[in-house]
Amino acid sequence: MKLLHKLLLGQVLRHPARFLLTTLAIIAASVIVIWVVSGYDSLVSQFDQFADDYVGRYQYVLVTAEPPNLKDAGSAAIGAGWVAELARDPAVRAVDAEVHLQAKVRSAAEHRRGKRPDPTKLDPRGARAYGPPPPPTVVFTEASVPPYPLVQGRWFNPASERAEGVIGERAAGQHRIELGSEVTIETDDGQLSVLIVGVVEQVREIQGAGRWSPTPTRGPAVSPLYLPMSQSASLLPGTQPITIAPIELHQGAEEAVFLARWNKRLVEATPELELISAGDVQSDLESSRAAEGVRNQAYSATGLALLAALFIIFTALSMGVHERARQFAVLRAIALTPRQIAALVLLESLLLGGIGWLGGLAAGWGLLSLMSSAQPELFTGGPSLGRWCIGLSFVCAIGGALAAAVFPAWRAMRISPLEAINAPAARVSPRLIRSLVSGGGLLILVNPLLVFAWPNKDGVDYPIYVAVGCSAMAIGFLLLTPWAIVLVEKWLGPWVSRLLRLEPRLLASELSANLWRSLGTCAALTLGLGLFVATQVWGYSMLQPFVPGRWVPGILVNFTAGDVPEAEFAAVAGAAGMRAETLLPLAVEQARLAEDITDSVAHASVARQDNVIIIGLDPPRGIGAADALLDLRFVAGSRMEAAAAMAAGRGCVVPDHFARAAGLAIGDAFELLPPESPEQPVRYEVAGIVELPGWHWMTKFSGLRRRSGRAAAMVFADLQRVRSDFALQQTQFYWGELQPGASVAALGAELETLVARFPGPRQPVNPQGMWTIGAIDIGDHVRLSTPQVVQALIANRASGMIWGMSQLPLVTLAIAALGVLNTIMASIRARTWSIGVMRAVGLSRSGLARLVLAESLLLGVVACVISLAFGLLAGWCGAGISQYVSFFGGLNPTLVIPWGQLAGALAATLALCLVAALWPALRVAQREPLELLQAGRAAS
Amino acid sequence: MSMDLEVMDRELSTNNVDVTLPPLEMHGLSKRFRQGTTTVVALEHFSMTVQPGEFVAIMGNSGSGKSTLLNLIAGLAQPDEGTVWIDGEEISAMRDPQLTRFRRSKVGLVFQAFNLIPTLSAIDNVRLPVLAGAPQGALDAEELLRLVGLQHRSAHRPDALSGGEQQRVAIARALISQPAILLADEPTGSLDSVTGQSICRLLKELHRDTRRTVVVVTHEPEVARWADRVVVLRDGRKLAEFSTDALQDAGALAARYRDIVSGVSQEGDAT
Repeated sequence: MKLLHKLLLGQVLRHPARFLLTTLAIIAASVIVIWVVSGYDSLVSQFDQFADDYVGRYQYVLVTAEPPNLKDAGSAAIGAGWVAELARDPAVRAVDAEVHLQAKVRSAAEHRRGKRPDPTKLDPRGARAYGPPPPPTVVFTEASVPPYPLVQGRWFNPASERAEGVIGERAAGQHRIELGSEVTIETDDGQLSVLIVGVVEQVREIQGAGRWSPTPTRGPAVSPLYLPMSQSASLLPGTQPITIAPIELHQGAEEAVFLARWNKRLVEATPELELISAGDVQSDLESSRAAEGVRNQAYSATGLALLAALFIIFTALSMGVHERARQFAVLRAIALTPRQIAALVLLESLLLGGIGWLGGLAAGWGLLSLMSSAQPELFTGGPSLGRWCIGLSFVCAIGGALAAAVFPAWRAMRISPLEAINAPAARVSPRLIRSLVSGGGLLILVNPLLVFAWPNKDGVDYPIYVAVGCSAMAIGFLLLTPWAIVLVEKWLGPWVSRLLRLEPRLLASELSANLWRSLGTCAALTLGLGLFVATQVWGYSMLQPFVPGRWVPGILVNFTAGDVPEAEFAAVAGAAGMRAETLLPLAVEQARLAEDITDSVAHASVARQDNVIIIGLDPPRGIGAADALLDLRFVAGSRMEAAAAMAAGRGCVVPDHFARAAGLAIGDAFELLPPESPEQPVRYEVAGIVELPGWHWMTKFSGLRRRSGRAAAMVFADLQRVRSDFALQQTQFYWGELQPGASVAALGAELETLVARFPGPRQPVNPQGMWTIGAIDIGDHVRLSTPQVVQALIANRASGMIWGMSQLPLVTLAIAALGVLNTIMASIRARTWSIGVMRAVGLSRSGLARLVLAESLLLGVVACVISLAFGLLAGWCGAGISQYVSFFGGLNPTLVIPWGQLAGALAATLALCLVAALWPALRVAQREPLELLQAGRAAS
Repeated sequence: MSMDLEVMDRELSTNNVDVTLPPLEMHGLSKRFRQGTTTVVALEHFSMTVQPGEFVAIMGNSGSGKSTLLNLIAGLAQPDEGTVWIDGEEISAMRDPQLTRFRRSKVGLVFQAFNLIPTLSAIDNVRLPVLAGAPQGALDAEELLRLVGLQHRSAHRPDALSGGEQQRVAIARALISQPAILLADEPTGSLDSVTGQSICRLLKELHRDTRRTVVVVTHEPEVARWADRVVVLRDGRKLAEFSTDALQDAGALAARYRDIVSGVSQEGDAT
């Protein structure tokens, strides 16, 4: 071992720049992991305290095994008998049954005026809020003392004549409800006016998990409005279904005995019941979607950084093995066995990885400390390197080092002692390259075959797809890289040479003569750039079905409140800017499907839901006529036949993805349940199947989703039929076209004036239908939607999301640039003597510098070629498999190649390569020919 | 130098090669190489015995098979046919790890290109076989450096040494584990004539005073004249061998060599 350590130290001291650069790259990779994973550590560190605070003064909470549906208060309730039995348990001090209800909660002042709250004023977060904060959960409780400490006022008096309530602190702030104010609670069964007499502490939101903080799925309400149980009858006639029952034990009670006594029995209850503690809440949080999302981000970052570290170390080791081939041969001849040689390479790799990891921890800690002092609200517990940070960064650095050492160590083992006497010519055999191409090509085909040719993907095991398909494709492209290097060198090398005013023969075989070194560098670059390309292609391809197509009319008018009679149609049509002849009244309802024909229970997605939005309109003017308002592209049936079937009876037009998911064809039928009379389903027959890109986003914010936030399809049927089936007396929606140059604001103002004359109830709408984005609110009664507003919103938000997903690959690309610098320096060192000869016979300093830059540029070109091929195919396959596994799948993505973004990234890569080579190029150009000749001789 | 040799002689007197050790024996060695579709016979049915303590030079033109022969003796390559026996062990049948350990302890190698490890100092280069696990009984590296006249350069790296100095270090390295045999492949090939002669003189003195078996491959008569016996190869076969006792100088040896190669045999030539 002593000898190996001496040799290792000697190698480090002989190439300090290479060692430093490689270590820096590993440090950077480790810092990436630490930065991303610290978010998860920070999140998880909050769970413990949150869970303790969450259960309040109780030790256990009796809940149903399945989370309750608060919109359907009768579902999955806890039987009162269980609560009574628990109360009789000698260990139990109190059991305070609670009934939870989601209802509309409005302050009294808003309710009297009938005014919609201004969402930006309600939420203390201000500009970030798109809509009003969700209402607090109404909690009817038997508790005689508050579950959490009181901040203001007192606990309610159940015997008071006036209904009293106590609200959570944060809910009070969000809704500007103060001590002594009145709130009105509305449900379908009634309403209740409540006086707020107290404010309790509310468990703090968990920070740092993105827009939606993880919250427990079962247990006490996170944002409560407490009322005495005696008041529940006014909002919940009949039996009050118990949602949870918090349990306080006597001091000193043996919890283990208590649990053992009850757990067995509760499992046999119907519905199944459980006793959960703070620890169970913590586990619940750790398995929440938000936590899972952050955890997956951590894993992704680790995987990416590990691969970057792997390729960078691989390049450094390969260079070392190549340069020391003769040295290894001598060691083999004189002293060392092949295993000892391999151990030397492995030790070098572990040294790089180890120092990189430790350096990464230090640098990561420094970065977190900096950010903590700049943004302390993001680091509630102060900067810390949690176990996930330390563990995953270790995996990245050391795992990458070990994996990177395998091939170089194997190559070093194969060096014959004879090479000490006669060094063989460094050539890569054409046969080897052909084998790699064959193998690589076959592996690349695996992913597309799995995605596009493999049947029955509904049951696809996504991890297997990722493990098999994506891995095979990545390995396949890696195997193709040597061939790509040779091809690019041969066909594009002369162009690169000419671009830099060089004789092409000077650059003829520099990359292929050092194939493994070139391979490692190109692979490191491709890792980041290829993933960037794949992310962009995948993102924009997935986005395409959501972008409003040309079928969308110019404007959708939504009278959110009021009752505009049919007689006023002409006034609506004649409003400033409206093309009167195009205006169509619509009958809109969001109705549940009588049967789950899209199998949404098994696999919900944007295309698989239990309801549709049915839009009644005039069939010929809307669809059938040559100049129909909706310019629909039919994939089955025709516009005239469809319009005729709609007018004649129960014909309808459905989108293609819905037909596919539900297994519907022309002539098939399905049933809908009218919300007002679900016991009387209505039947519709498919008369046409169309492409309907963008219908999701056109309905999301416009108010067309009247009952819930998701829908499986937008279905068109006859206006009168829909009005009759769904008892729609008034016309809330209109579709039409605008005159050129029309002002939407002016149109809206005129419509607002019109509808204000006809007061009426507010229309039901999903929460997003009240957001301040995606549509334009005019006054209190009018909401206007145009495809341009939605397209701009999509472009902004989606581009931001795709860009966010692309940042990590780009950072990886930047780290790989350090590998390029390493490679160029090694290349210069290996060619010192021949460079000296070239300078001696007449190559100028600038010519030499350009030669070095050309080599680096060529490496970048190879990386660009491979990345483009990989990224396009991977992105397209990703969009393909997402159809089956992603919530946003099920539509028809079309391959979209965002050339602008890709061109930018390719250019940035080439620029990075040039920048990385700049210093070595200038440095070697400054050296005198004799110095180079002597140094080259000494090195050989 | 002679004082140093006396010192070494005193210190190593119990470590001289025992002349009762088995000789170096090669029986029917053959080695062939494939070059594309052509098979090149580098060595064919070569047999030779080198007595313990003998200094033998192997001469031949380029392509005669002399380097191949040295590689086979050193265990750097395996023969296609035949056997090699060193110190009573048949090395041609050994597997690689065993062969490596054998080379470490029983064979000293001196290369044309010196082949010092550039990241190790001179003294560490000398110690290399020991650091790698050569058995106990190794000589002292400092003494060996003194023996070759480089005691004041022990901490220097190879790139700070001249060619001659590097080769001296290489010779010291070859001796540290007290090998049964010292093999040198064109030891003066990268040196000027004056330096080359000093290296040869060193080898001769070491051979004389330690009575180690020395086999040198060379194409230079000036080097071969230091040997006790010269073996001439041509086209992979032994052409002749002769003693150098009666030859006055390198010129006479060169003339003898030319005669042999051109087919003129003389009295005392063994074929």
